[in-house]
Amino acid sequence: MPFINKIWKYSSLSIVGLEKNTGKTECLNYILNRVKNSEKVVALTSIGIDGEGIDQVTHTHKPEIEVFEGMLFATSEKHYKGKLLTAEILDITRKRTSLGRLIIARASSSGKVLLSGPADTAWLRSLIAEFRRLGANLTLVDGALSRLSLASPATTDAMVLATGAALSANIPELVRRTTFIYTLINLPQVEDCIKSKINSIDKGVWAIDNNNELHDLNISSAFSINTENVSLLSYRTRLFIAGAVSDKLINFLRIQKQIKDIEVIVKDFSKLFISPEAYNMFTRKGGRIKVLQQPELLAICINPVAPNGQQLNSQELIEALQANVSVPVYDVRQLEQSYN
Amino acid sequence: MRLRNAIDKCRSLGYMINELDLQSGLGRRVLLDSELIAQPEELQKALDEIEQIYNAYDNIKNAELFDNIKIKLAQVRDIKSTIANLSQNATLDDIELFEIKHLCLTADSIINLLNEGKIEAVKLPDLNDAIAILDPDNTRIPHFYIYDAYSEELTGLRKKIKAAKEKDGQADELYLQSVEVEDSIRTGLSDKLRPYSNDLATLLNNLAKLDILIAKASQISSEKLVKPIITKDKTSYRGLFNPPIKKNLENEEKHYQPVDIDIKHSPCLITGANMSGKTVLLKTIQLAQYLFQLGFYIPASQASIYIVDEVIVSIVDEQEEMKGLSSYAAEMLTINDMINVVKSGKRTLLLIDELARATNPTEGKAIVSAMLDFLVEHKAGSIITTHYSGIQTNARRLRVKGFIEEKVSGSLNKSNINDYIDYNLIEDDKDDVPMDAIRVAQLLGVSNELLDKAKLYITRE
Repeated sequence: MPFINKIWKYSSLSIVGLEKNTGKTECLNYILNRVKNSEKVVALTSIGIDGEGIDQVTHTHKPEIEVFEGMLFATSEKHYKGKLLTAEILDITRKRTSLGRLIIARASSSGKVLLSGPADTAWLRSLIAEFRRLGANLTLVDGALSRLSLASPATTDAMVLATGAALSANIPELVRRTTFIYTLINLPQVEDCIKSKINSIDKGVWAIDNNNELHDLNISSAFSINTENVSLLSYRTRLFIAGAVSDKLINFLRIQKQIKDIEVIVKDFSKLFISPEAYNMFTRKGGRIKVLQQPELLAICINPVAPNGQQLNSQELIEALQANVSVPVYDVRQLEQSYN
Repeated sequence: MRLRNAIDKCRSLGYMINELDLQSGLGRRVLLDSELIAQPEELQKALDEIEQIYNAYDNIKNAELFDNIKIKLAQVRDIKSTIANLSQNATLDDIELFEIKHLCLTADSIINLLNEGKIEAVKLPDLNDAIAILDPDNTRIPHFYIYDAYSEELTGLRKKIKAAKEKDGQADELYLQSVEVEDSIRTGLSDKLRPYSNDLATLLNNLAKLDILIAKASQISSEKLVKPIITKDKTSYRGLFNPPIKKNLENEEKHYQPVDIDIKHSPCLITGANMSGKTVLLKTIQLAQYLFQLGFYIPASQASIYIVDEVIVSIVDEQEEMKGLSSYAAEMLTINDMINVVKSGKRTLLLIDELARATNPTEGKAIVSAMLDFLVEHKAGSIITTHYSGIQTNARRLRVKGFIEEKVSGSLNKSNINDYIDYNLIEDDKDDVPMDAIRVAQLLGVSNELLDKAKLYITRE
C-alpha cells in the first residue's frame, strides 16, 4: 500500500488535481478505501464548489466520494440533503457558501455524498481545527487549483497531486507541466523571522527592507503593479504579494536592473499563476520566489485516460515523470486493480 | 417606528447600536426590528428589566456567570424560519430538527445559568419535553440524526444495508426503503414538536431579549449612562452628552461639555452664535429621546423624560448638503409635516435647527416667529434654534453662553477655539443674539481691513 502508511504522520492532507478529470476523485477514494478500517478518525471536506454528479463541462461520469461509517465530513446544505448515507449532524456553520451553510456530520453508515466546503483559506483552516476538536486524526481535503477557488489547498500539512491525460495528451508536455507544478510546490520557504510577520496579512503588496520590516506599498494586488511603481523597487527588492501572482508581474520584475536581488514571497504555490517560460526566464536572470507555506508532497497520481477517451501508456508516463521528480508516481487505477 | 428606521434619522443612534456587544445575529435582528415604545407601563417595565440585569451584571461576583451566558448566547442561531415551518404543518428535515434540538439544549444551559445567578428579568420556557423528542437516547448532546431508537424497522433495515454493502458493495434498494421509513419518522417528530411551536418562538424571542439586555447593561458601564425617569409634562436633562462626539473629542484629548436643558409641552427658542453647539445639542436631544423610548439608559447624569408619539427633526446634515438637495424646499416640507402631526393631536418632540436659514433674513425671521406662534398655540414640545436677531415671540428663550473672551490665553486658531466656548444654556429675555461673529474672526487673525468695515455697518444700523 504505497504512501498510505506515511499519511498518518500528518493531520491534514489535500488531494489536488491539476485539471478536471485527472483522477483526483479516484485518488481520494483510493485513500478513503485504505483508511476506512483504521481505528483512527478521518474527516473529509472539499474546497470550492466541486463534486457535481456529472461533470458539467465534459459530461463524463464522475464518481462521487464514498464516505465510510464513522468518518466525519463537511459539505454544504444543498449537497447534504442529497447524500446517500445516514449521518449525524454535529454542527452547522454560520458562514455560508454559495450552496448554503456547511453541515458538519458523522457518517453512521457508508455511502456516497457530494462534497463542498469552505470558500476561503481561513475558513478551511478553522474547519480542520474543528475536525480535530471533534476527534479527527486526519482531515482529507478534496482540493482544486483555480483562480476561482479562494481557499488554498496548501493550507494542509501534506498533499497528493493528481495529473493525467486531461492536462495534456502528449507525454513530454504532460511531464513538463506537471514537473513545473512540482517545482513550485518545492519552492524554498521564507525565513522564520519574516514568516511570523507576514502570516496574518491577507491582502496587498508589501516591501520588506533589510531589517525585515514590512512596508505597505498601498497597491491592492499584484495585477495593478505598473511602470509607475518602479521607484518602489529602487531600495527594496523583497516583495511580499498576498494575492495571486501572474506572468505580468514576473515579466515586469525580470526586466528591472535589480533583478539579481529580487525576491518575491507568496503565501503558497497555489497563488502562482505563472507559466513555466516566465518562471524560467525570471530565475535564470537571478530572480527568486519563496513561499510562506509548503505542504509536504507525498505522491503524484496519474490518470492516463483523457475525458475524450484517448489513453496514454501508463507505464511510459510513470517512468517519464518519475525521472523528473523525487516523490513516488502511481497510476491509481492500476494500484486499485492490483489491490483487488 | 422601528429602531431600524430610527437609525437612518439619527446617526448617533447608529453608533450606540453598533457599540452594543451583542452575542448573536438573532439579538441584532430582534433589536433592529423593535418598535419605539409609547406606553408608559411598557417602557417602565423595559427600563426595570435592564436595571435588574445591570445590577446583577455590575456585581463582580457574577462576572464569570455572565461570561458563560454570553458564550452560550453566541451559540444561539436565528431559526425563525424553521419555527415558522414547524407551525405551518411542514415536515422538518434533519437540518431543521438539529436546529431545534440545538436551540433547546443551548437554552437549557442558559436557564441553569440564570437560575444559578437568580436572574429573573428574562424567563425562558422549559422545553425539556421537546428535547426528549429529539434525544431518544437521552445523551443531552446537541447532535442529531434519525436515531435507530425511533423504529425497530429502521434498525433492521440499517443492519441489512450494512451487511449488503459489505457483501457486494451495493444496497441502493434497501437504502431507498430506509429513507422512506426515515421520512415517516420525520413527519412523526414534526407532528410531536408542533405543539411546542409557540414556546419555541417565545424562547427565540426571549433569548434575543436576554442578549439585548446584557448588551445594554454592559453599555451602561462603558458609556456611563443613567436610568431615565418617565414624566408627564417636563423633560429635564442634567449633564446631557453625545457619546460619539464625546468619544471623538476625548480621542483628540479634548473635553466634552455636557449641557443641562428642560423641555416642556411648548416651544423654546435657542439663540447662539456660530459654533455654539446648537446643532449638536438638537442631535443629542433627538438621540436621548430615541434611546429612552427604545428602553435604553440615557447619556446624561440625570434624565426625566416625557413620552412622545413622534420625533421629527429638521437638521441640515453636512452629508445631505453635499447631495445638493434644495435645502430650503426640503426644510419647508419637513416643517409642513410637523404642522400636520401637531394638528393631529399627537405628542411631539420637534427639533428644528436654524429654521429658514437658507432664505433672506426678513422673510426668515417672519417664518420663525410664525412657527413659534403656531407651536405656542398648540402646546407642542419643540425646540427651534436660530441666529437671527429680532424674533418676536412669547415662547421661552434660551441662549448659549457662547464665546468667552476672558478665557482666551495665547492665540486663537481653528483647533483650540472650542476650548473657549461655553456651551451652557441660560434663560434669555432679549430678542437679539450675542455679537460674537466679528470678535471671533478678529481673534482668529482675520484682517482688520474687513472687520473694521463690518463694524461700521453695524453702527450704521
